[in-house]
Amino acid sequence: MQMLSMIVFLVMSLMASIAMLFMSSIFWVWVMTDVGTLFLIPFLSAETRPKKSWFTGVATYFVIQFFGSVMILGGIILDWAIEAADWSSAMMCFGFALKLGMVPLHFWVSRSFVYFHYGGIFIVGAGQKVFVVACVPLFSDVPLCAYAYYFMAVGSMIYGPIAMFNAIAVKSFLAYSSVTHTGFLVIGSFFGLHIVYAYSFIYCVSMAFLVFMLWSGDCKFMKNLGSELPGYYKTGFVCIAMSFSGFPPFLDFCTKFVILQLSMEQDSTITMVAILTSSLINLIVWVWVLFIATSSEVKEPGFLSGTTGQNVLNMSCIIWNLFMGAGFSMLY
Amino acid sequence: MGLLILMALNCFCVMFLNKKDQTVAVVNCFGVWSAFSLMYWGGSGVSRESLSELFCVDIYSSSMISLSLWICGISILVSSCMTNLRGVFNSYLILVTLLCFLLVQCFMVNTLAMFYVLFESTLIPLASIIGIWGGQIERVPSIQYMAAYTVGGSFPLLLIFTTMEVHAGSSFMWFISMKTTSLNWLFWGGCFLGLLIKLPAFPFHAWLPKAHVQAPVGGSVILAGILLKLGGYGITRMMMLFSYTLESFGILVMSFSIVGSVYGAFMCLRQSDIKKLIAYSSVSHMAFSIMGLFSCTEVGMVGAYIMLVSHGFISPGLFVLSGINSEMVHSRKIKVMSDGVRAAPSLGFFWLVMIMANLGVPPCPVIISEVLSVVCVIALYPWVFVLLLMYFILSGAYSFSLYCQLTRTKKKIKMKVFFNEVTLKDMSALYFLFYPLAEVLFKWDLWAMM
Repeated sequence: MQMLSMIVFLVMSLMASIAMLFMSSIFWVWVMTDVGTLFLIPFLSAETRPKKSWFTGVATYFVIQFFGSVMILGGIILDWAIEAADWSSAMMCFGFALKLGMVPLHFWVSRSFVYFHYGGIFIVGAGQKVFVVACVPLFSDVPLCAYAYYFMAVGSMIYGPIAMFNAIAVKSFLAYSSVTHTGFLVIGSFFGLHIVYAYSFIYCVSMAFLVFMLWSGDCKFMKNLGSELPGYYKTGFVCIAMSFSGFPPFLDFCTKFVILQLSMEQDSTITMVAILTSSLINLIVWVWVLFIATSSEVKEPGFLSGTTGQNVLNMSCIIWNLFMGAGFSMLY
Repeated sequence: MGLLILMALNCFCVMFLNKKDQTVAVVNCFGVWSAFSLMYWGGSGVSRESLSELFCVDIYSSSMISLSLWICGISILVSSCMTNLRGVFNSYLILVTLLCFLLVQCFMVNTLAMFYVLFESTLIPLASIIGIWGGQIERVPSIQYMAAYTVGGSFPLLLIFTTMEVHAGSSFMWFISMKTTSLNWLFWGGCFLGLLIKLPAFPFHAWLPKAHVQAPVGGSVILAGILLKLGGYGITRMMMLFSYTLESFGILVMSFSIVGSVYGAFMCLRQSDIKKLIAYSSVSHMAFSIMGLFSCTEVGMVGAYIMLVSHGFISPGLFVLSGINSEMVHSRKIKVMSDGVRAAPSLGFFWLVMIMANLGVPPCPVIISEVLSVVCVIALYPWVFVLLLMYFILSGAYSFSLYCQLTRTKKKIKMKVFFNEVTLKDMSALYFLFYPLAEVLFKWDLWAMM
C-alpha cells in the first residue's frame, strides 16, 4: 500500500512537472512547480522502515522550497503591481536559485539528502531539477540578475566537486554531485533548451543507475563503499565512476565536451575555464571513489554473478556509459 | 585497419582457449601482431597500406605501433613469471590487450580529436593495473597524481582541437599546415603542455616516480616502454600541423630539458629505491628526446626517435631486472637487492649490460641519439655543452654507483633471499628486449626524411 501511494504521488508530481514545460506564463510555471513539490512531500515522507529522523530532511526541503516559492511569487506580484523589473527579477532569481540549490544557496541540499531515501534523492536531485531548470527565465531583461544566475551556476560547478571530497556519507556525496550537475544544467540553458533536454536525459539515466546500485547495497558511508556495494554491480559502478571522472570515451566526457564546444562558439571564456576546472576536480574525486568502491577485504562475487535482472541492469549500465557517449556525439 | 581486425579476431579466438594456455597464446599473438605491423614500415612518407578514412601511418607511427605491440607482449611475459600478481591473471591480460589496442589506434588516427580521446583513454587501463596490482595504499594518490597531471595538462590541447573543430570544421592533421606567424606562447603552451607532461619533461615530472613505484612490474614496463612515448609522438604531430614556427618557445623548452637532464641524473644519484632511480633516469633520457624534437631539425628528429625507441627497450629491461631482483629479496632497496645478485650471479652480468645500455655505452643506439641531440643543442648555443658535460658525468656516476651497490661483495652473516635461482623463463622477457636494440642500431637512420 505504501509503495502504491509513493508511485501515485510521484506520478502526479511528474505530471505537474511536465505540464510546467508547456506553460507560457511565469505565474503558471510557479503554480506547477509548487504543485509538483507538494506532491513530492508524501513521496519523500514514505519510508518502509520509519526512522526518527525522516521528518528532518522532508521538513528542511519543504521549508526551503516554500521560501523559494514565496520569493518567486513575490517577484511576480511586484512586477504585476508596480512593474519593478529589477526587483522582480532579483526576487525570482533568488527564489529559483534557492529551489535549485545553487551555490551559495546550496546549504539545504546536503542536510536534506542525508535524511531522504534513495528514491527521494534521485527525484529531488535529478528529476525535479531538470524540469525547473528548463522553465527558469534567463533574466535577459535585467543583466545583473542574468550575471548573478550565471555565476551561481559557475560556482556550483566548481564548488560541488570540492565538497564531494569532504563527504563522509554517501547521500551527502550525492547531494554535492547534484549541486555540480545543476550548475552544468543551468550553464547549458544559456546555450539553448535542446542542450538542457539532452543533458537532463543523460544525467537522469546515469543517476538512476548510480542511485539504484547504492540503494541495493544500502550504502551509508563512503569509507564502507567497497564492502557495502554488491559485487555483481561493481563493474557497472566502475563504469559510472569512470564516466563521471570525465575520461573519454565515456558518456560524461562527451556531454561536457559538447557544452565546452558551445561555450567556445559563444566565446565564453569563463564557462570554458569553469568546465575544465570542474572536470579536473571531478576526476580526482571519482578516482578516489573508484578506489574505495573496488577495495574490499572479502572476496566478492564477480561480473555476471547476480540474478538475471541484476546482470541485465549491470550490463545496461556498462553499455550506457561506454557506448552512449559515441552515440550522443554522432546524434548531436 | 587490417592490424586492428587481426587483433580483434585473435583475441576472440584466445577467449576459447584453456585458461592456462591463454597467457602463452596472448604473448604469441603480440609477436604475430608485431610482425604484421612491420608491413607498415615503408620508409619516408605515408604508408600506402594504411591510408583510409580514419587512419594514416608513416614511419613515426609505424615504429611506435611496433614498439607498443612488442612492449605489451613483454609486459605479459614478465608478469606471468612474477609471483606477486594477485587475483585473476586473465584480468591483467584483458587490460594489457585493451591498452595495446588503444595505443595502436592512437598512433594510427588522422585527426587530433581522436588522438586526444585515445591519448586520454590509455590512462584508464594503466590506472586499473596500478590500482588492482599496485603494491601499497599509496597507489591511490599516485593514480590521482598521474590522472591530474596528464588530464589537467592536456585540457589546453582539448581547447585547441575544439577550436579547430568549431572554426575549421575538422581537426584532420595530415597534409595541412597553418600558414601564420602570429601564434603566441599561450598557444604553444596549450599545444604542448599535456604532451610534455606525458613525456615527462622537467618540471612536470613529479608524477612519474610515484606511478612507477606503485605500479607492478608489468605496469612499469608499459609505462616506461611506450606510454611516455605518446608525448613524443604527439609533439611530432603537432609540429607537423603547425609548420615548425615555434623557435623561441622551442628554445625555452630545450633550456628546461637541459636542466631537466642534469636534474634527473642528480636525483638518480640520491635514490635508494631502484624503481625511483629508473624513473628519474627516464626523465633524463626523455630530456634528450625533447631537445631533439624542439630543435626543429631533421638531425634532432632522428636523434629524438632513436632515443624514444631505444629507451622503450632499455627502460623496460631495467624494470624487468629490478622486478626479478626485488622478488628475490622482497625489497626495492638497492643495498638489499645485492643479496639477490650474490645469490644469482648471472643477474650481475645482466645488470651490467642494461646499465651500460642505459648509460649509452656503444654499441647501444642511445649514444647515437645523445650525439645527435647534443649537436642540435650546441648549434644553437655552444656553451650549453658545459651542462651536457655535467649530465654525462652524473649519469656515469649514478650508473657506476648503482652497479657497485648491486654487486658489492661485503659479506653478510645471513643472506635473506626468497629464491636463489634465475631460470631461462624468468629472463626470457629480457632476451626479447635485447634483439630490437640491435635492430635499432643497424637501422638508426630510419627516421631520416630523405
